Amino acid sequence: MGKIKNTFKIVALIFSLITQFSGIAGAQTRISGQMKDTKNQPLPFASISIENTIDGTTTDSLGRFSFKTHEQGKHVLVGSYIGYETKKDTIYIPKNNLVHNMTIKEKPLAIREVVVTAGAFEANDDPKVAILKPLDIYTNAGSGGDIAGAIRTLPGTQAQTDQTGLFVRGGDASESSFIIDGMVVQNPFSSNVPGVSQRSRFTPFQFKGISFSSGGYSVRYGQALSSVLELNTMDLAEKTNLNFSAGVTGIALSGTERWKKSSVEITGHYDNLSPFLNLAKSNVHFFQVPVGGGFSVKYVLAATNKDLLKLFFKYDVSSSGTDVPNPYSADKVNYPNAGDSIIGFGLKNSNLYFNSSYRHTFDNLILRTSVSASNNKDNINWGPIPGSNFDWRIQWRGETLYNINDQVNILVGSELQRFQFNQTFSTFNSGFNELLTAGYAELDWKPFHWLAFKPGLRFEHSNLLNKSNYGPRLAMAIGTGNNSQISLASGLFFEDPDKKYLYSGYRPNFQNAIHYIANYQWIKNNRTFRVEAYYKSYNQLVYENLSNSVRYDANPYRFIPLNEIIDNSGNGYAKGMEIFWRDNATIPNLDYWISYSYIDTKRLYQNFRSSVTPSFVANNNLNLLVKYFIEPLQLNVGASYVYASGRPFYDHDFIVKTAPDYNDLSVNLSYLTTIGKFFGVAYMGIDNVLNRKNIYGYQFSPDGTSHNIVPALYRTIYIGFTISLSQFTKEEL
Amino acid sequence: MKSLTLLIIAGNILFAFPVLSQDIKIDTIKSQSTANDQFKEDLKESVDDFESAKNINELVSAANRLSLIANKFKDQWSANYYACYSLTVLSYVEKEAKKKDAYLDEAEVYLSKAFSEFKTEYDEFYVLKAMLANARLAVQPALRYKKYGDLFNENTEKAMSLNPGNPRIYYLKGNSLFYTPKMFGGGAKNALTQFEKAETLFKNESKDDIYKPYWGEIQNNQMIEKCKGEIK
Repeated sequence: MGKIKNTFKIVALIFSLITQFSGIAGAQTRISGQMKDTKNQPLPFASISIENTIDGTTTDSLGRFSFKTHEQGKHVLVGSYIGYETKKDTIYIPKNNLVHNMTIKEKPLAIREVVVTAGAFEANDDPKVAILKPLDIYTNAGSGGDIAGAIRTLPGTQAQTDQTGLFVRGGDASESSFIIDGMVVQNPFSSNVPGVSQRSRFTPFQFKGISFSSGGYSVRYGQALSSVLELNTMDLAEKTNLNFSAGVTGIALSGTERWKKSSVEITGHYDNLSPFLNLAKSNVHFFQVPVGGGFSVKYVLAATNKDLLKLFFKYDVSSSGTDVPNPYSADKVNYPNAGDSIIGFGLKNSNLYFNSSYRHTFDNLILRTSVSASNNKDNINWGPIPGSNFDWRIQWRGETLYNINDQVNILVGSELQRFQFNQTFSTFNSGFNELLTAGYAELDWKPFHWLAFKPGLRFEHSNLLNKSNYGPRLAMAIGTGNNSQISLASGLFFEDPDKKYLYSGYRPNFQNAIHYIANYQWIKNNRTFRVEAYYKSYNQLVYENLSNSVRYDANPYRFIPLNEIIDNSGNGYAKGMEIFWRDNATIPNLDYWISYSYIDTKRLYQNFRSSVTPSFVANNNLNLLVKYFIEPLQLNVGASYVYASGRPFYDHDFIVKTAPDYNDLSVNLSYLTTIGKFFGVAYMGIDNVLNRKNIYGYQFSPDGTSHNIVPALYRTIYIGFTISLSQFTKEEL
Repeated sequence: MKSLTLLIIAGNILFAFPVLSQDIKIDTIKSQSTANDQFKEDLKESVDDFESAKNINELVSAANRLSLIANKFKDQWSANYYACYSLTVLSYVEKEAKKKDAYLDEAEVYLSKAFSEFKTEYDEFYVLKAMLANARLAVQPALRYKKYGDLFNENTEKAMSLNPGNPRIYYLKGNSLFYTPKMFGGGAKNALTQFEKAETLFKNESKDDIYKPYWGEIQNNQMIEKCKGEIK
């Protein structure tokens, strides 16, 4: 040991000798200075060192540093700090001390690329574009777990609960298209019962992404003047599990099996509204309580990581009997024996839906092809009069997405849609057959990370109308900062005339709408602010040129007279401004959003007598949504408040009147727990807690009689629970 | 023998010096084994500093030093490994979400270097990968639980298949459970089982070879106390 120590001493001595004589490994030099950012603020905890050595230190609380080094001469001094660009300064290390100050620049973290957001609201897992999470739909108070219900809390939509469907920016329900995995769903909502808004047929769990466009949407879609609601189903199921849920509206069971490359999901449900209707007083009388049932099967195969095949099949039946105001009793001309003013509306529905899609990825090419089919049948009894609706659809889509480089993508595709509608009423029957052929191309060009263009063109031909159209579209986005951007969109959109005219044998031209949308969006740290303004012009709307002596009939089921001049001379406009603010950062576990829409719209269409604001439009719509998670109690509480200014309605002389304002306060609670291998959620929701007697308006018949339009129920209470066995997913929430 | 080697080294230095140009660094002329010993010593010292840091200042200083070592000894898996580890830990300490992710971005770079230098399967890398996934998740749990939760499970399972006796697997699992809400199967009670399993395994670990990672025992003991406190 002693020997070694001695040796060390010798070595040390030799070193010091060398040092003195050669002068190269001279005494250590002290390098000191201060590190600051471009705003002249000192940076504590920054790292400073000489490149390729471990000589260096960390700055103190005032950004100061000081360290010693044996290095001499020309070197590179490296300064770095998390979130800042690494700075390299060339220095000459003298024998004496060196003072060197450094300024380093903040890094624009993960350069945010602009995305076209004009008109679009995204709910998915991509934080760059998502404003909603798919889960939100289930947890929003007042939406009742219904996709359409949740979408109605977004700007641009009407808080409509007396009619089925989405009413967007002055458009009626027929102007919104409902898409699943790129394919149009012909019967997205349960079959219509007059005066009762119906829920969508699909549960939100099935979707990984939801994209709602209130205008300016992509060339992939046509046949919608106002909006597109696009839903994308889940890919491979996450885990094998079993779920059971029960509530006051029915029970459901589902099982999922996950293999390495494939998964199967089977669901079944039975619905019976008796317990639900016993908890609330309904404004409509059900002579037969709504009951229904159905099942679905989904298969997903990802044979390689470049292939994805999805097959989905669903079959449902339902029946109900509702007393409704007889829409025909006042029309003595067409319906001399229509019966009483209140009539039993009996409905038996069966619905079959199939969707398949396949995707294959090549190096810089993605091929997608899909086929969907549906078949829907309603057997109806209008009191003693039998009727039916029967429709089916087949759709094919094929498209190629070509990724030329980081900046340029091209989408080219085509689709075929074949559908048929038939209806019978007593001894009348009518129907029509449509074949739509479409082709489209869209360029996605991002010359810079802060600039994006999306020009496109859609061609469509209708066999039924024997007409074609070209719809150019353009969208763009310009970055205005790391967290904000401006997005613009415009386009020409076409749609077939309303079904009721096609049933009666009229074949007018396409109706069209032109959208102009400007949007500003700011997203930072879980806070989102959006403001959007738009102008939309409606052209070639179908208009019934009726004689002035014919009184206005507000009945949506009215008979369309034959041999009238029904053409495309209608028109209209909609303009408005919308604001959205969401914040789930300020207070932990609290998430809230505010959405406000103002709209000014008038149109001359259908049997309107002049250009007016349609009765489905409230000029002001406000939604406040709050969700709070009480962690110690494992309880989620939520509330929503909806305000809509009074909607106009028109009497038989087409004189405008205004209904009272609409107000609704809803709350919900859910309790989450794990018991052994079971994960459970129990929930309760109360819609219209204050039991406010909202009136949407009055519907007039040509003879001047009227009835008030009210929701099917005022205050409603919903109670239910879900349990999952073993490997649950949070999706079940 | 030892003194002889040293003498030879010293001799070499002595003879080599006069012909050296100013730019050549002393390190390069030390024989390989000494350089390696020095490297190992520096690394161990910095890792131990990091593990025993009493405040944020000491923690960041040690982490910065570990990054310096990794930048200089790029071909040393261990240097990259510890740089990744220290940055991941820092991400938990950092409060700003943006910076948390920036730390993890850097950590990932070091981890992939460690992987490519080591070449064969090693459970500790998967442990670190799992920790990274957990750290990513912790930045935005509500948005990220799905992707990073799966990634965490995948990597702990992989590590487990390579070496079920690695205490850090259970320490991480415990941590993940501790911060998972009780209603999703987490909570202090479930976490404690894992921490206690880790505790036994930590006790059998030797703590002198920096090439055989041994971090986590101090934190694990702290978590056990925390769990016990919460259960009461």
